[in-house]
Amino acid sequence: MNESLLPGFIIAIPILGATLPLALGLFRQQVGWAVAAVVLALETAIATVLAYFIYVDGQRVVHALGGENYGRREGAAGGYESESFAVGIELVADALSGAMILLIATVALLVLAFSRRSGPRGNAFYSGYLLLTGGLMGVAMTGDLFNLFVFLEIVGLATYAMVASGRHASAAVAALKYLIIGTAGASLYLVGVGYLYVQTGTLNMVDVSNSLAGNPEWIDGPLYGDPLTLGAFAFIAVGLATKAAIYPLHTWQPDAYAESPDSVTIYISALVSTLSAYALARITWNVFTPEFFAATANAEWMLNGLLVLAGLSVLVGSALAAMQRRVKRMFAYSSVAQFGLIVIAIGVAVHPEAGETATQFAVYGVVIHLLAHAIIKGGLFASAGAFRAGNHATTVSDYAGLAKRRPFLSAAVAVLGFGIIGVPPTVGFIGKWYIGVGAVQAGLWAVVFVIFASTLLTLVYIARILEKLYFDYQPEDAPPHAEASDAIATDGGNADETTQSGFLGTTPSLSVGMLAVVAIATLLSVVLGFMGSELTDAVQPIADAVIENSPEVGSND
Amino acid sequence: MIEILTSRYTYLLFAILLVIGLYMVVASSNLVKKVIGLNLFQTAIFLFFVTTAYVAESGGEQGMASIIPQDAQAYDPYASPLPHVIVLTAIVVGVALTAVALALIVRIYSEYGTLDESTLREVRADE
Amino acid sequence: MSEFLTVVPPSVVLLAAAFAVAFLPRLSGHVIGAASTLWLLAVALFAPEGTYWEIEFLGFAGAVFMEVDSLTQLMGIAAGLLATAAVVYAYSSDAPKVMTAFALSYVASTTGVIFSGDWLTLIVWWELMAVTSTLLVWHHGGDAIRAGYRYAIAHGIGGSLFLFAVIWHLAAGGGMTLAGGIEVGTVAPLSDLGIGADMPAILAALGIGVNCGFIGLHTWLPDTYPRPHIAASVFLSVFTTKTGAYVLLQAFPEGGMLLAYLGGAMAVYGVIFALLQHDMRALLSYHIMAQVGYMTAGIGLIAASGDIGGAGAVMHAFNNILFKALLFMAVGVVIYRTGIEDLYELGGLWRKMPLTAAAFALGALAITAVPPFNGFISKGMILDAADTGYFAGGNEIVYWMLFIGAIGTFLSFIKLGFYVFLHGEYDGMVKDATFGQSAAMFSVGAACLAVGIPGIWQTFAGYAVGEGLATGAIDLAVTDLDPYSVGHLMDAAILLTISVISFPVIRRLLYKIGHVSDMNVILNPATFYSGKAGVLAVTESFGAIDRAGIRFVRFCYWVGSNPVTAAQQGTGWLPGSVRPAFADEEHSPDGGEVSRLYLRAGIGMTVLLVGIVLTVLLALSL
Repeated sequence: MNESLLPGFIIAIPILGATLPLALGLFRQQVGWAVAAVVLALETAIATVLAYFIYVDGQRVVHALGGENYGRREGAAGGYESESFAVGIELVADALSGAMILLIATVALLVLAFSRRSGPRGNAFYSGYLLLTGGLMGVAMTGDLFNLFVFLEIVGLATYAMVASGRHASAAVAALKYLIIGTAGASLYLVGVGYLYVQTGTLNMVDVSNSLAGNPEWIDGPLYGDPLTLGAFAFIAVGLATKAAIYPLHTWQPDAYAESPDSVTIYISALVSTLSAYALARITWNVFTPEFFAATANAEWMLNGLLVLAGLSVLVGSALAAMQRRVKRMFAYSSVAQFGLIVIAIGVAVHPEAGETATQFAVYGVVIHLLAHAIIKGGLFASAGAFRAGNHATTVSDYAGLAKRRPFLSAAVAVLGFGIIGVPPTVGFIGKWYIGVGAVQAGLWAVVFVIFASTLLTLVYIARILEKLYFDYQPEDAPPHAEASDAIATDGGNADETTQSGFLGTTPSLSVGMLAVVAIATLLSVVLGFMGSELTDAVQPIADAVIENSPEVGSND
Repeated sequence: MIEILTSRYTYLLFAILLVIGLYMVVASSNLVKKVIGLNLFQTAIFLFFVTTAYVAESGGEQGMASIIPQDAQAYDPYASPLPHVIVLTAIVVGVALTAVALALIVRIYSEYGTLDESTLREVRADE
Repeated sequence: MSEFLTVVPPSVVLLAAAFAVAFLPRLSGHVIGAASTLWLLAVALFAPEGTYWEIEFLGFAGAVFMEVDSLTQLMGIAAGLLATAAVVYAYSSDAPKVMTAFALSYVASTTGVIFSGDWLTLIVWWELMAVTSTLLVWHHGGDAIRAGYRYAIAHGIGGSLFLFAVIWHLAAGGGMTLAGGIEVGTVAPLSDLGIGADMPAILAALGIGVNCGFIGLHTWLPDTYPRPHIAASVFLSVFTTKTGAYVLLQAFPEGGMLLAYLGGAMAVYGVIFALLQHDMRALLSYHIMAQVGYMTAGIGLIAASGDIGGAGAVMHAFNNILFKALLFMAVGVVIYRTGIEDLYELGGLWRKMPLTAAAFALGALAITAVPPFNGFISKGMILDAADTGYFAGGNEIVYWMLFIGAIGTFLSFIKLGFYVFLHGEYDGMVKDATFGQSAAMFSVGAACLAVGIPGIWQTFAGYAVGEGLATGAIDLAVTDLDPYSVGHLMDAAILLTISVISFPVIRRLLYKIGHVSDMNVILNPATFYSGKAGVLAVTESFGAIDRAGIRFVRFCYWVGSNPVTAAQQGTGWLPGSVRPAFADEEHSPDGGEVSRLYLRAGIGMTVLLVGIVLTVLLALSL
């Protein structure tokens, strides 16, 4: 089989599959979960094969959509003999996107296991779920700036719908807030893309990057100093920072995370902002490249501005997290802080002050921390969901003394919490470590201070929750109905439809699937913590590309 | 300055429309008006793309619609088709977004009985 | 034959045992725990010296998970021996098995620190040590939780500083291996970093200083150690501080007179405060500070007198692990049987608890450096390093500070023993130590005695002066040491005489201070010393920093647990037009929290913010 078809399949299959639950729903009810499971299993298989080609064979798999007439061909453009711009849309699977597709496939499958019991049920939900997965895959794979906008909006649309699938109307309010702010962000991104298009005449990332560098013969020197280019970066950075929920553009995020159903929260917390940050990294590193930021003082100021925002994000996000009473909001604000760290590292990697090793470490930090945050935060939200399902606990004070009744879940929260603080040997430590070392190597001392402060601030709110769980036995905090009714719940039925309508709609009971998701996230966070060198080997091509200002993340052979 | 204003006025319009749209989103507390503002904001961006495609004059000829006959010269001044296609896609995305937004608003209205953001906040604070 | 000992690092074995203890039944779990600590002992005793498990770790080549040299052997022997006794002690003191599991994971991380052969591995285990010891404190619940929180914050800050130092050290091109310490003044690229070249060294000193209980950084010590389970105190008293001293030596293999003075000051400061305590475990905790002061002084004195200071410090760490744990065990038994922590409420216990009294006596004789106990050997080595007479170098001031410290040690242990075991009568029925407790205490007590006996101490001193230390300044051999010389014995006799004579004199005074002042006065050096002379101004400022630190941590904690009230109070002073709505909300009548905190920005506000941020970035770009 030709592996260059795989990047196409990996996007097309879930999007086509998204039609099935609705179509089959005409004939049978409750078919959505099964369809989603089959599609996502296939998806995971493809992602694995593709990852094999990327990481083991060391290939850069490119697929040009639209058949043989499209893609990159030798040709004459105007009076210039040259390799012309790529025609049509390219899908690129390289060391950077490979990590993302593996993450997306795994998380999608795991959350599916979680949602079996927790819901929301209904075929429409699973259509949206598959659409969202397809959109995320598209964001990861695409090598085209405008196509990235389209996939971002597909992701956005599906996410808004999924957030609104919470039973309570406050979910709709949160979704609308997310929609308006998210669309504003995406539109700003589109303006930036428009500027780049006007500047270079192409939308292909590699071509845009080459044109900005002034490589084609018909361009007189680099375009880095042009106000249009500088403005394009400003628009794109702000647009994607909004999507990634960087302070003070984060306000949609805690509402959206807190109001949506638990399974949706896990999914979007693990993936949606992650992919936006990925897009920011991809564009900053491979399209604009470090040379852009070194070329003019203005670009460096912009980058510093972005670093300031990200630093604020870390500090304020952590402080706000420590102030929350609802656990889901606490974790949501914690994500604001963590994405601040990631954006810091994205910026450090291309900072003119950063030498080769600093860039290398910062790149390691970004990719590993993206993965680490997705796994750990997904696991934490899954635990929060399981606690709500099993013990009706939603606020920090509800968690008092739950360690006695839920030793396994509590231990998982402890391990994952240490992961988010960055205690070795979890993967959270490795990510934070490389970000820290990168910043030290680059000599950005203010940034270094923020990173170290973030560890302590994270300790404050994680310690608060752990203390409640393990060392607080206030009987009045345990609601009388909290006796878990998970013993042998009647399976799969609609029992929950008839009974409680809790704070977020139905309150289903704890299931094996939920516990499995928590367990796998916990295990992954520790196991990956021991695989630091394997991870950095996988990431090495990206670091090389950034160091060499190359738009193409090459192979590692 | 005048020259730019007369020949490039569409860019100015883009900026004005964009800001009007943003202002609506910021200033109006009515949710539907916010969505209308968002639409205006996006429309401005579409117009920007369309504007970039237009070739005012090249080699003494006005830019033509990019319907290319078989015997066309290679470098006739055609308006670039690509931004048009892009805008078409973006419009579709915009319509879908509007639809979702309106659906959410319908649900919010049926639940809270108001479309005003500040009233909504008060209603929800009592929950 | 002994190669199989290095197949797995001992810390991994201990971690596995910790898991086993948590899940197995109590007895079999403790047996496995003790077996794992014996394994550690075996590794320390018999593993061939050398480097094992050299790997690439976190992007840095040359990480050494396990390195065996004479210093790690010495520390490993102490840790293995003591941990075994402590597991037995924990088992027979009704410690919950989860506590023992935490304790073993704590021993594992300590072992990891001791056996690491490079800075990176060391810092990883170091941070784990902070986490596991916090868990050990927390597990007891009650008072220990708040103390544990302060402990966690203190060690979080210390750990971050040390981590920062290590990163800086590595980033500046310093070597991965421990050899040479954090000695960055000579590393060329550092001057390019723009900040003082000694910055990593300062950070490392502060970071390690938290663990060692440097003056000003010590508050967690008497705050934490008296609170957890008695068996947990035994573990805690041994590992964190002594590992701190060991790492301090690794970081500053060439010493520094600043450290020597600091160590001397710690010895004095520690014993004075120890004398004033009436909580038994708090008294012992201040003694930890004093004893680590000796080690710090020894390390610092390397600069003046060469290897004898370092060797003395390591030897003293080794001995201190044994006798300090023994004292905590004995005091623990008293608390276990009587439930009383205040020494003035006890008395005459030697009739009821002869075994415990005997064990305590062994420990007290060892810590006060009476020959032929082990403390005599090592304290003598450090005093020799300070004495201008014995070896080249030395320092009068440090010597006298350490001398005063030694007198104070005598006094406070006479005080402890006198009030707990001798003075008056204890009415009521009290049983003596259980069999397991006695076995643990006497095996450690026997070790305290044995290590001091001529013919045996040479073996252990041999480790201390082995090639693990070798800074190359002076070639030190065991034969250079002569603890049982007339001069040394005379010193010990003088010390003992002064102490025995002065105790009745100051006894009344101590009793008065101990009773008149509450704990706050004692814990607040600033208040206590306010009338004293200029030298103590330093102490005062340290005290202020101390209180500010503790207050800040308390404040953070309060904000964390009452976020809404905090936000309300914090915004109350704002003018009405800007003040958020929640600032005006009433407290609920029962003094509870404000109902809801509305800090969320609306849609319009956020979009405005997006616009503002965009404008700022665009402005920067033009």
